Amino acid sequence: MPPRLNLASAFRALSLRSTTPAAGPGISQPLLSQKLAAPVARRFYSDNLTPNSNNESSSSSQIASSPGQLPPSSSSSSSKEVGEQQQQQQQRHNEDNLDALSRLEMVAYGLNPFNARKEGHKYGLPSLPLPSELHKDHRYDDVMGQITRLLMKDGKLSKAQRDMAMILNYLRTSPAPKTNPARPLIPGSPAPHFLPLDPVTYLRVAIDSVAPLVKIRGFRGLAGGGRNLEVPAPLAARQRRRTAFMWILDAVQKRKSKGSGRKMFPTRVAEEIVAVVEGRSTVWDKRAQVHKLGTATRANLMNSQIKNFL
Amino acid sequence: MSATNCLRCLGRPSVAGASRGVVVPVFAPRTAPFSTTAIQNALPAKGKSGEHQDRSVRVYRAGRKMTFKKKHTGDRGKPPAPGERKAFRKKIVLSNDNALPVPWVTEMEASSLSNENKVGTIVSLPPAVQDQLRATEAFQPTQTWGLFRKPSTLIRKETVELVGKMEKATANKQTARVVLTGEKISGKSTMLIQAQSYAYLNNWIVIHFPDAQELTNGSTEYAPVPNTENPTLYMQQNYCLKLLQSIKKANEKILAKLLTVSNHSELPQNIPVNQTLLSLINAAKEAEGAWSVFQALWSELNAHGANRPPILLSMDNLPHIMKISEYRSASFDKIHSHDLSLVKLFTEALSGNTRFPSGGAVIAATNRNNGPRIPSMELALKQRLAEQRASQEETVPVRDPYFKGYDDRVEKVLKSVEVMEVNRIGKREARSLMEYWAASGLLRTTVDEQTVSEKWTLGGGGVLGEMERAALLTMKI
Amino acid sequence: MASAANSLRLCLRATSRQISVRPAASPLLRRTLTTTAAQCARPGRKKGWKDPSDNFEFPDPYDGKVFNDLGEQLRYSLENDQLTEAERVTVQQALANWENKPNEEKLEEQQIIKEIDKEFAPLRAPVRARRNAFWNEEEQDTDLITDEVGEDDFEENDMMAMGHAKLEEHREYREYARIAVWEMPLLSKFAKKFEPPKENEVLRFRYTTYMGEFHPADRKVVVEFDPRDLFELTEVQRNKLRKLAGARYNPEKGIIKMSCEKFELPAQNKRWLGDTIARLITEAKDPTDTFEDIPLDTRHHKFKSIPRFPKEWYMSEERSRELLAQREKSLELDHKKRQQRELIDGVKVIQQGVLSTVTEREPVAVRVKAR
Repeated sequence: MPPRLNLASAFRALSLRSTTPAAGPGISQPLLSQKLAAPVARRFYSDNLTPNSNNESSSSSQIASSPGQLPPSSSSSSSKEVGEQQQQQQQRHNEDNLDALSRLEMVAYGLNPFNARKEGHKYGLPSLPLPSELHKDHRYDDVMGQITRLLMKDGKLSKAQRDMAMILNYLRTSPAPKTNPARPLIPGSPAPHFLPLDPVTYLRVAIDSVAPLVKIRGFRGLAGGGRNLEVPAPLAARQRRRTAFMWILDAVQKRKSKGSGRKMFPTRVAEEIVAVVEGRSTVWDKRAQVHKLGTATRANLMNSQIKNFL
Repeated sequence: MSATNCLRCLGRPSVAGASRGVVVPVFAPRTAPFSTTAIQNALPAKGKSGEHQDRSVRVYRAGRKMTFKKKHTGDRGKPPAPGERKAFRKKIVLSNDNALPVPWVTEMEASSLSNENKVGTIVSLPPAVQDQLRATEAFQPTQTWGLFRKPSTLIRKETVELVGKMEKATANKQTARVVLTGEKISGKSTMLIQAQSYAYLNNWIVIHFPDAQELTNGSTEYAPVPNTENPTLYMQQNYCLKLLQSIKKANEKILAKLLTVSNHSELPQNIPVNQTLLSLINAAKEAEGAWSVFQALWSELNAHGANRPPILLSMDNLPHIMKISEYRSASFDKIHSHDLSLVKLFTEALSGNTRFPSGGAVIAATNRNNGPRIPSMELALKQRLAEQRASQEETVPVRDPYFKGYDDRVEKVLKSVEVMEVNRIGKREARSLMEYWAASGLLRTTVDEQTVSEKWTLGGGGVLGEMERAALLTMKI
Repeated sequence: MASAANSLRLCLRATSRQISVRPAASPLLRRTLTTTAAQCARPGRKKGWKDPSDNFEFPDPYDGKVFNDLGEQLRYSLENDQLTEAERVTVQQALANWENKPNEEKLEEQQIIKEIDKEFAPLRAPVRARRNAFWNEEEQDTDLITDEVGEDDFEENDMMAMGHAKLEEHREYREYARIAVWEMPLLSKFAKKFEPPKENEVLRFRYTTYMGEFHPADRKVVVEFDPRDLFELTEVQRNKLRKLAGARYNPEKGIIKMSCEKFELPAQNKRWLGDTIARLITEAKDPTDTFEDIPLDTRHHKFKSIPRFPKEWYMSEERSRELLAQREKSLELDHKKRQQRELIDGVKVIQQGVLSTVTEREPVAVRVKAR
């Protein structure tokens, strides 16, 4: 059998060769604070690079022997050799140590040594709850956030946002819309002359006004003879807006492009939105058609076969 | 064997042919000999409209024939007329009726741009100046004039400095030669607008090249100037005519008062002495002869002892005339931009070789967005800046001896110009600007120091265009 | 069944693990369950001598003495002088036992032994390469370093190969640990204090060793020096030296670095480098052409620019005080403006603007039935 060799102990022996352990041999039963103080006051297993280890070990033993007291500053026997500056440094070091010690004691007694209000934050904590605009996902108006992503192509959100900004700028520079009484805007919308100064509301009013209330669901083959059974289904607010804006985008696709450059697409969208508010857009017809169909097919809701699906 | 086979098939009347009831002559002269294919009559010709009826596309996919219907793209009507699309792109709107008028914005006066106390205030351009600036195409579509009630500008520290230079130069009958540099969208072109407005308000004559790119990118016609050798100069008559029109529109009032001092018989229309310069310009009706008219006008404007007004010669996008142009000579050599006569006229003035009789200014603005990189120009501008600072620590940069891309002619032109950096604006200026935005109803926040600081920081520490993007071109209005 | 077989297997394993000390003369001639034929000691061989080829040689029953029965063999072994007393007693007992046995039993026993011999004879026969074998494929290849025959068979009497490898790894660790503990501290005897190079020690050489292994790059020597350390040169001569060094000059650090691996030995390469530098210096000192008209070429070097924040951004006490003052000032400004009602609120401005523009009352929208 090879001789038992404990690697860790071997290395410890190696590295301890030049240093003497800091803890004095005389202390038989150290207090808790002294136990905690030891690693703070002095690191084990490290070569002492400063020459006067004598002084340091004595001071550390002083700390160990009298926690909570300032060490005698100038009365020690080695003070003559040590310069004034070094002494001050030593003192500051000791003060830091004491501070750390008192904190560790608090930890030992189960107390939180830090005041979260004061410490650990350079600029303090923000007051909660945070306003929604400070949250990255709710930075913009909810309609704007949704619509911008519908405008997006190839995942280029930044470009879509720029387009949306241009749309808003078009809306606020275009003259106040002349509403068509045959195509009433959504109730509660501001007067038309308010709209250009608040383009976000302008856009919201346009989209909400043409948003359909229902969609038509088809149940395959339930109408008899393989025909679809068409049933109206209500839409949530977000779905309604999405449908409306997709219709608007379809109408934009059909619009003739008059120019070139990065302003062209936003201009076309904005023109369509103005057309929606003024009641000229074909999107209104689409909405009316869906509503008509919904009204016509609402009797199908009583179909016994589809009750399980609804 | 084969011969009999062949003969048999040749002799056999085709079934297809027979079913159609067409008697196929065996040795008809129309058929190709030795063909096994039955002869068929041509189908009746389709009408032209019928060709477009069938919009389906047949594709063979995975060995199967598939037919797709093409999407019916509706009739979009007639396409935009030539130039219409560009006109949309270049359209400049100078007012927004929805924006609220700002009560404290005053109209620009002749002296307001050089007044140091007015730094940080907003002044609006007088309608006459607006027209003049429109005539010289000084406004750019990327600028945000269209958002406000009236086109107004912020008087910056640099504005006062630049206008001060112009003022000082004319007082001494000298020419201020300034090159504006700075970051992207930091306001160099707007500074040109301000310099021009000052010139218009003080009855200068303004000749503005709105985009140097148009001169050198090969988009206008060119021809060698007769009787120029070594180097041969080239004139751009079409561009010249356009420039003359813009000069005429912008400086109509002053030109109507100025009279010619010499006889111009070489022009298409003889202009004797004591005619107005306006009539001289009017002599250029067509592109042909525009260059000679322009030359005559230039010599008249620079005539000594005729009590001419100061001249402002300005150009945007300077780097484009500091490169080899896209034009080729008769021997297919590349033409240096400085061999184009119009460019030469400008560079002579910029380098200080041309002296205006009653002073004036030559101002050029560089561009960072769409400009070529001209090492010589960049070096020269850096050198001028270092010389102007004249500090002990900073040494004047020198040419890299092992780099080949330098151009002596460019450096010669920029040898003694003044370089002005259009820097970022300070917070005080930013605040007054943002107050103007908010008062126009375009910024839905309270303008306090925090908001100003926020936008100022978002705008790259006060880059004006970036601040505009952060505050005016957002989804959060 | 399985458990029985298993226990048998374990028993066998246990016995096989024991270091078997064969008694010089066993009372039992044959071990049960052996496939080896009985063999008598060869004459002339001393006791305790072990045939090195024991394991490999095939027993030959016809060689040497042949015994008819056990009694004969025991008697023969009694004749051996080298038996100990105890052995002798045992052998004598065994002999007595044998002789006391009835003849039928003797015969029976002999018969069994013969039968067993007969059974195992083909197993014991030496495998000889067939003369007409195809490429002698049955012949054992003794040239191989490892005896591959049966190497991969696991006889369940040992650890797996991976276990051995792990052990080997541990042994290696321990070896180095021993070195670290016992030998490396002794190296401190050889430690020398670092002395910074003196003024006349300008060149700094780098050698490469691959710890005794052959490597084509171990002959390479690299030298670095700074022309600024060559005090006997003037600035003009130093510049000439830099230009002569060409791409070996690093303009960022100002150091010339060159290497040589032309010759077989590092010493030769070093000599060459030293000679070259000496030549460069003599050339640099040559006043006939000082190369002053040629600019220093730095195209070979890519200058690294580390982006740093502007100096003004670094926080100092002064700067933080300044910032604090600025903040206070701005707060004051806001406060003042708020008090004087000069602070501009965009939302309010818009509301007021809209109200002021509406001079006449807008016609109220009438609901009309949609189509």
